Amino acid sequence: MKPLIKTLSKTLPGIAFFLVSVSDAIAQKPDSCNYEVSGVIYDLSTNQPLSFASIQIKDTNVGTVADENGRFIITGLCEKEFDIVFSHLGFKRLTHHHDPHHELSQVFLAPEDVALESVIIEGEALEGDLNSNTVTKLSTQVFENNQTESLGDLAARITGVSVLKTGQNIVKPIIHGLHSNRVLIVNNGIRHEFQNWGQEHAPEIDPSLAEHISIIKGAATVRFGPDALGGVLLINPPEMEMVSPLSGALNLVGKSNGRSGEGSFRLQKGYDKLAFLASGSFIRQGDLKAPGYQLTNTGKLEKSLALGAKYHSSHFDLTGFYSHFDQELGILRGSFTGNLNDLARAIESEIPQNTGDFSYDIDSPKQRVIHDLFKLSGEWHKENQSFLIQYGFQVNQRQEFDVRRGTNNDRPAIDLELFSHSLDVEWDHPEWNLWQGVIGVQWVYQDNNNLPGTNTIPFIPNYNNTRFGVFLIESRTFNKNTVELGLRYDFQGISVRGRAADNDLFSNDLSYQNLSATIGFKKDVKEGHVFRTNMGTAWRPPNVSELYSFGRHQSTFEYGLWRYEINENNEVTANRILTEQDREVPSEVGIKWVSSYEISQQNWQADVTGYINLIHNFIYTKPAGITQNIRGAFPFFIYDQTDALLIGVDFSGSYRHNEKFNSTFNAGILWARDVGNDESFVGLPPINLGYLLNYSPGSFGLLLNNRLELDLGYTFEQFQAPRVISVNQLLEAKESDIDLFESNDEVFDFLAPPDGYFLMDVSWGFQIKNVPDLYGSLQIKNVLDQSFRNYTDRLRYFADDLGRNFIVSFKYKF
Amino acid sequence: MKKLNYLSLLAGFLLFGLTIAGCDDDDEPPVENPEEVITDVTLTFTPVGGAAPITATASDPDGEGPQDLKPDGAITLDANTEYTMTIELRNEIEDEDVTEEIEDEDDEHMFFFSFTDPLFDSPEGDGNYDNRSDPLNYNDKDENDNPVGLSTSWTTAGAGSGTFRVVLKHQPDNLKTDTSGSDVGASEVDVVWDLTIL
Repeated sequence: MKPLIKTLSKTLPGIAFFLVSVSDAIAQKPDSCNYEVSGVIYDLSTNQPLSFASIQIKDTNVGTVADENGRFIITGLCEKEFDIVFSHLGFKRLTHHHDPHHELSQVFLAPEDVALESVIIEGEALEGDLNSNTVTKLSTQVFENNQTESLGDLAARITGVSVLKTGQNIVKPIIHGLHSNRVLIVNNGIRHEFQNWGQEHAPEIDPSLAEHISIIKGAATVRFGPDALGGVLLINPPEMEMVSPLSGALNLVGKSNGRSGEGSFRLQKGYDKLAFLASGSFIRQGDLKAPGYQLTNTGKLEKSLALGAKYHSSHFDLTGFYSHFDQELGILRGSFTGNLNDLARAIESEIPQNTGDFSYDIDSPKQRVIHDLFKLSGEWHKENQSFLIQYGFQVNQRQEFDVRRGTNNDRPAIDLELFSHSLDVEWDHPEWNLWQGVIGVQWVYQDNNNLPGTNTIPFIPNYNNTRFGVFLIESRTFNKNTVELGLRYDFQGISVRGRAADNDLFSNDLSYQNLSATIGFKKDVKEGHVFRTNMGTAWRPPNVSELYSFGRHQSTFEYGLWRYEINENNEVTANRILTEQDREVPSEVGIKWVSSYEISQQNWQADVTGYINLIHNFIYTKPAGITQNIRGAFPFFIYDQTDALLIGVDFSGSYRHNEKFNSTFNAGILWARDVGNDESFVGLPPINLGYLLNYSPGSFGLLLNNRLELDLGYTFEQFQAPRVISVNQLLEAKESDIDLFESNDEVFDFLAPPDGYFLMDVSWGFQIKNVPDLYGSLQIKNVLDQSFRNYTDRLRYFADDLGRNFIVSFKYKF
Repeated sequence: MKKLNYLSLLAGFLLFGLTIAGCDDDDEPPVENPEEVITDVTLTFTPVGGAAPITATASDPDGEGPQDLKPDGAITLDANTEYTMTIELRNEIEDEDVTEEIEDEDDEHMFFFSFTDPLFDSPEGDGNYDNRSDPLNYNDKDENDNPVGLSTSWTTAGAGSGTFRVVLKHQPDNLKTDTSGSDVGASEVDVVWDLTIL
């Protein structure tokens, strides 16, 4: 710690001096009536522009009407802060406290007959400062309808995103084929810091407390730092609006599959200078069910809470936010296996082993995760510049319980605690020779510790990590073209202390640095047509688990890059702990090019996004042999580096047939290859197609504002799968003393990819006459009770995915 | 002036955060006792007649490392002789006797055997690994009256050779019943020896 304190005690006075000079500059007075406000108004339920809404400055007669494409501008305003009222017949009125420092880029008005509220999305929250990067937002309607899903499943409703699952409870987003350490999650403006290296470690974020989810599909490393090789998932809570009455919502949900009960609430209130937000949720779920059998030990217990407060004055905003997430989740009992014989039996049995009756009990194997986030941010505004300081503190606790002997069964096999402090300082500088831009500094300090009492040698070592980054992003607009350039420098220093299998201590100090760059171009081709293209580099230092992991993980053994050697007889040994002198492990460096074309017209919209991502020094695992252990035979894998190439296309479009019918279509296609070894990767998401039809027929008797929705999805069989070596083939090879991997160490899978499958969901939303604030809905997921297995679900070897699920929900708003 | 107050507040916060971060550094991971690791399995065949016992050991010095375990040599038994066989399990890394642990939790553990037919007169056949109800002479029982297998009885047939496989299954959560076979639970030991009867 000493060197860090020293470094910071040196830098802090510098920061403070910078703050003082900026705040002095802010004190100047503006001139006369030259303020203006502009934006585009959309229909929240369809995401299409809303024509001819009225915009009025509150308590004045100043106002205007939006044009056919929803655009409006009011010029010549003398006040710089005012309340602005948006209204349109048949839509919920929205009052927003405007200050000149937040651009009103998008105003979404909610139809009176839906449970949604009208909202404003201010530019920066949505796009993370990158104009030329392709950003796709989850539509508010889709979000609201599926808010009880996990974060990963919700994000996967965005084209180009799929999920890596370990059963239903553990769901991670895959963006354009990459996941875990290669996808960055930014929750409420703070990088979500967790044990992201594990494929069965899902982000500890409750989406029911959020309001917007969007994906940056390009390499956004320049803005957000290392790890963003695949893309960035942005999650934001509701905006805390000033001058708004006490409002809130209570949501109760019941699901037949898992017999779960879920509840959530939200309360908001805004005064002249202060606004508050409180929300919370609770989920209790029992064993889920596949068509035909119970999925034993797949229960879940989840609690979350968020509190926020915001202070606003003419030049200054101060925001404090706290959130707590606590989750205990079971993992399918039948997926827990010992040696290869056990694995062969688990794969062969049609119904998973140890399947029992329905229960709410959560036994081993299970996970318990607790995540706390505290954030404090201050933002100073001046006419044409702003200055942000944001501090974040996160505590991530993770315990994993395996099926173990005796009293060890109640001990976690993995028990980790990760503290992360982050500090972001950003200056949105005044326009300079038509260039606008942000200069920022990011500092992160992390402390990762193994807690005592696991009775296992720690899977990953203890470490302390310091990361420092400085970036500059500049953009210039001429006519209808915007050019964007960005540059970033990062330094990362890690001090590692771990234990070898015989409890001997090892340690190392590592440092990495990298220069990243991005260049982009955006063109407003013509009314309603936007073209964006962006090329950016990204990087990621090797993770401690990739360097140091050692030993058994269920039915396989894994040796990190610094835990194995290959001797002169071409045999793998793992008796020594290596360092950078023995084997150099350079950082992963990627370059991603993303281009998109968006068309939005009166009745339809469409966008197509194409990307190419080349990653050098890509870290992966490959099979290296089968070892005979006291427990039996196990295949073992070693970490290695190669070059990866990923190419893909995302398409989405929607069409408004008439007042009552609306269609949405989307498709995602990915091709990827290990170009270093010329072979396939394991677990690439297959092609999927989705079609959504909305029908709003009006009223049926006592039921008002009925909305019916049909959601059809087809997932193809993955055609880019590696070779298959069955468990029995592995066992036979071991018995006959044949080394399967000596001449061919290509990756393999135990089973071929599952067949393609078709899924149908339906839903019906309604209101009851004379109960205007209550919104009901009935959903049926997997209506056909289709048996299917998802290729990117790690439990696909053992059990089918979920069967039919009836979901009833009631939302009360006030 | 007011703005400066906010600044000092924020600066104070940063210092506070840094102080917390600074508390807990350079700490080493705890020394853990990996109780569940079994590195050595020893079979002791004691002739009922009182001759010297015969032992066979399998050890895996690198534990979870990639090197294969080595059953040191074949088991050699006398023909037409009755033996009592006991099994000892050890964790040599921790110098710990795992056998006691199995005894303590014998209602969750059971040994299964598989061997070349007809090396033994009793039990007859090829063992109960493939079929729980096949004959095997267990000398011990758990609290539910189900066999455990730390001690078993064997009578060899005439001369011959083949293999002898010992499998220990962990069958927790009431998985162990009077019918549960070797397909239930997770394997904790699975070792094959060469067996010669002279």
